[in-house]
Amino acid sequence: MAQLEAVAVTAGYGGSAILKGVSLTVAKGRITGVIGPNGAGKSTLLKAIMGYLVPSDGAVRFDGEDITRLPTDQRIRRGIGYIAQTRSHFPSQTVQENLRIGAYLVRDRQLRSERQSEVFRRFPILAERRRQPAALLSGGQLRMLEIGRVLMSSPRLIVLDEPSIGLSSALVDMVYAHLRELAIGGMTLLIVEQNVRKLLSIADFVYALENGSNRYEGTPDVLAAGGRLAGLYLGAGSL
Amino acid sequence: MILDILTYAVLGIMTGGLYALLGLSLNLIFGVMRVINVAHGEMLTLGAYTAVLLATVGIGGPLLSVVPAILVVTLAGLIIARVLIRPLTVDGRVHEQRGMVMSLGLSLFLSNAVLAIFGPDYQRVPGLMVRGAIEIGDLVLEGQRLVILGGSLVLATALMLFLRFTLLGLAMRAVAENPEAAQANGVSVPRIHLITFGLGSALAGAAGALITPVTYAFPAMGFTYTMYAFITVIIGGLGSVWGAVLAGFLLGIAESLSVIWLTTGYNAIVGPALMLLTLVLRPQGLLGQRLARA
Repeated sequence: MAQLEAVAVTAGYGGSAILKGVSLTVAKGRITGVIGPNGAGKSTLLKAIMGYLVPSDGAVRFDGEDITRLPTDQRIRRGIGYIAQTRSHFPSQTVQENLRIGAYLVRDRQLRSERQSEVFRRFPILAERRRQPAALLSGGQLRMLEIGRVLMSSPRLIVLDEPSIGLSSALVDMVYAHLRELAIGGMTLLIVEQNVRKLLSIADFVYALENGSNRYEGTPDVLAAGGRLAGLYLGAGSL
Repeated sequence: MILDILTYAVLGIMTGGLYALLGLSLNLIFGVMRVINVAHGEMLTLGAYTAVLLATVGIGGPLLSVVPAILVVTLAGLIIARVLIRPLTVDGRVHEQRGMVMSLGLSLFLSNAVLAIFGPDYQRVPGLMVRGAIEIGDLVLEGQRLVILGGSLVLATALMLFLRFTLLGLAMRAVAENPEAAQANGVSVPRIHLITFGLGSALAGAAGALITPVTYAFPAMGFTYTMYAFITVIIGGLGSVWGAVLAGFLLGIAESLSVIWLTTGYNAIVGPALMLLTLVLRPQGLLGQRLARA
């Protein structure tokens, strides 16, 4: 069943379309990946899905509801979580404050403290450093904070823009292990990645974009077996 | 001599509280909304004239004039934010140049509106002054100036506590730091902008009501206070809440002490001079950070 749907989304900045009618379906409880070379429109697609950018044409639906024109905070309210490519956190605020703002919409104090304990169980290092400003965390710890922050709102879908960016391969493995764990727990994930190899290793279904349009789509083994991706993306993705 | 210095320093602390309050509120609006609000002083004017208006019907005193002034100016701030600033907001950010030009126009409009309604006369409400003074040895502290200092400190402290310990304060700090990320946590940026501008304006309005008994209210009074607010913010550091408080008191004391050495009337040069000195020696301000917002 579709948790999120983008239907023929056309979007861009100042009249020039970067996305030209892109469609994708994110199935409930699955990991859906989006790959493509630089400038393919991956980040623009996520912006349209998150409401940072209003499509000039097409529609975005979440749980069957048309959210195409909803402001970002309303989408969060409906159960979407978002981790941006960089600076998805608040550097000058403490780890705990970052988690608190993640639960901005959660009014129940009891619920907030339960979720925080859950986040601290998942990422013990965050508990240790709860009173330190986020600016003092390492790159890997920041990713944990961002995942923890997004879990505080208990979303039904988490959208991630290049979770591997700027991390060593050991840390990328660590982040992806956590993502896999979330998926096993039933979470729906939509991940945009440059690191194609890593994404293919975890995703249930992958869309490849090129020049703002859908190019290929399929399960990772079908895409990999076709050999079509190798020349196009794998080289660039394994940096 | 020592008594002179002490007396002027104390006077300076009293004015400093006012500068701190103005700088703090200007900084709040700039920090959260990135609006360079040239009309900040006019919010003070509106607060001052609210006090004048109340005085003409016989209502006065610190609480009775400050609270209505806060209400009136908050309302004005909310209307301005909704009607004038909201249309300049794209993707959670107010267009910086348009925001500043808008506030310039607003400043002219408000001072001329006050001129049209109340006329060009200097208005005084001396009858509402808090009388009496506290004497510590030879040091005399006037009652009304203590009220200004106390009021400023209470309001500034309340703002700090609000920013530090409430959810709304946390959301305001989040928007200040990164509006996109704030939205990604469910914070409605237009709503935070509205609250921020209302709150920042309210503090300037309160300052207006506090100072009317010791000064004159006149239509163009806002400009001077806009300047002092900017000087305070630049010395303290753009976006730094503590910086504005520190700079406010430093400015007040420096200006006041300068009377001992400078001919009276020339002390207005102290603020701009300190500001230029800061810009040359420490451009980010005393407590400002070099970091720009993402």
